[in-house]
Amino acid sequence: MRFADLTVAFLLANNVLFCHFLGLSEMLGPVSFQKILRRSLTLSVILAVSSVLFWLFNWALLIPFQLTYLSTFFAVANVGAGYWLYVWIRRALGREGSWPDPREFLFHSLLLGGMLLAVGASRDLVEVVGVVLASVVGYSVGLVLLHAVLVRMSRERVPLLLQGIPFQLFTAGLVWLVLNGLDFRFTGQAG
Amino acid sequence: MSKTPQAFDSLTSLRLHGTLILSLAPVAVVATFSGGWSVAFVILTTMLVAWVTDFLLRRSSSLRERDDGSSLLWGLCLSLLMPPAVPFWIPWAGVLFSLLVIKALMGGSGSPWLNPVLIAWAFCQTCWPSEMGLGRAISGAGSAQISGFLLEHQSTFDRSFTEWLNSNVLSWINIQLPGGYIDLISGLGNGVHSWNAEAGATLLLASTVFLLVRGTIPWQIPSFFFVGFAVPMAVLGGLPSGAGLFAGDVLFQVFSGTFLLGIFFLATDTSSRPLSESGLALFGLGAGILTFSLRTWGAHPEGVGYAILLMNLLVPWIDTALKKKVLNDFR
Repeated sequence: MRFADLTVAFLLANNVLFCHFLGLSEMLGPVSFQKILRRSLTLSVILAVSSVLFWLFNWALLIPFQLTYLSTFFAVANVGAGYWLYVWIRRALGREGSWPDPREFLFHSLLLGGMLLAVGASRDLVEVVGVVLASVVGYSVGLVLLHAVLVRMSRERVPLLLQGIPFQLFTAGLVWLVLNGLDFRFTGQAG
Repeated sequence: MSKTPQAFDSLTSLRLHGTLILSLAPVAVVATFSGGWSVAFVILTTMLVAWVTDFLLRRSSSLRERDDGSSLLWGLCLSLLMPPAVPFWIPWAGVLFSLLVIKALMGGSGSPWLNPVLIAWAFCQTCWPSEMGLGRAISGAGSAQISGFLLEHQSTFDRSFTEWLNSNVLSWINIQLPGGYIDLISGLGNGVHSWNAEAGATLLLASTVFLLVRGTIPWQIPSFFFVGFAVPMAVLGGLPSGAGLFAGDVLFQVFSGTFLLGIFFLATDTSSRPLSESGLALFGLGAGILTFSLRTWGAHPEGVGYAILLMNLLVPWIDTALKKKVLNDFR
């Protein structure tokens, strides 16, 4: 069981990291600290609105009409629509920004939509919005950490044979080892 | 900001590592006294494995580095992070990982941006959690559990000395030291210590005075680390056990686990700490707060190692945010 846990955690953690290191998402690319903070704020607004909408969909439509098999689609589409709406409003206001890159759009919709799906089953709307916003904080901290690692990687003196993806995968493994430490328990009394 | 190349400093890396090894030697002796000859075997063989591996690595690689004593220091520090009853091959695997993977791939002994000792410790912790978690857990321990554990292992010396201290010294300032703390702090208790470094905490503290006075280690990291850890621990440390505010046991937390080794010897590692003085302070403060969080709500028995590693990841941000302004830069 322990091995299975580790395998699943390894696959999940490293896949998120791979997305970053292999350049799947431009949003996780090398940007300034202020830009990351602005993006985190944007994500918070998008996800707060999406979580309320998803909660309404889930409890007013999907569950009463036994359409829960559509919940995955709704969760992903919700975040996608929120993200698209944000870019559209920015363009309408004449601010910077263009249409999102399709890979970035898909990445965020799947990743954050999946998270929304996981918490959307709760009847308590406050709990759903709270968990979603806490996840955004965690996600933003992740962005900061990964960007710092990217800066470090660019300064490394790496043997020729290991330059590129091998070293990126090696670094991803090291970061995973460190993030293992963020294992909290909130059950109260120490056993 | 680093010095100009022509500015010569007598503190070479060989001398720095030698000084740190000598400072930790008394701690290793007390750990042996407390944990038995198996601890001495683990410490000496881990250092030997580290040195031989480093020797072979330097011979075979194109880096052509001189022996700067870093491998011996890494071996010593890693073995002090282990529980006394750890199987001897686990620290061996740890130093092999830190030398063959971290040092070889990150460009030599002065380059690793994650503390090599702690990443080796995290590797051992992940691969062999049950062997590494032998003994008691510090994280989330309430005051009742702490005093219960210490009284269970209280020696006769501790009982008589605590009584004398309470009646002749501490009574003047209206403080009563609970039983078992002298065993914990002095390293003389039997079965009290769950980490090798924990047994020699007092000697470790004494040797760091020498290091700080000589300027071998920066004062900013230990002092801000302590503040970042002790203040929230004193105020909020009692919450997980239901004791309420201002009920945290700072004395126990500071002398428990690898806290003192971490703040003086591991967090101050030259290759993985920030460059500026204000950066060092921020690094220490962040590591202290993280240690408090991990020890209060963490699932691992110890939080110091992971807190320092997490702050190592943030060092580029700290260096960028606290970069000094260039002189005569009027842009």
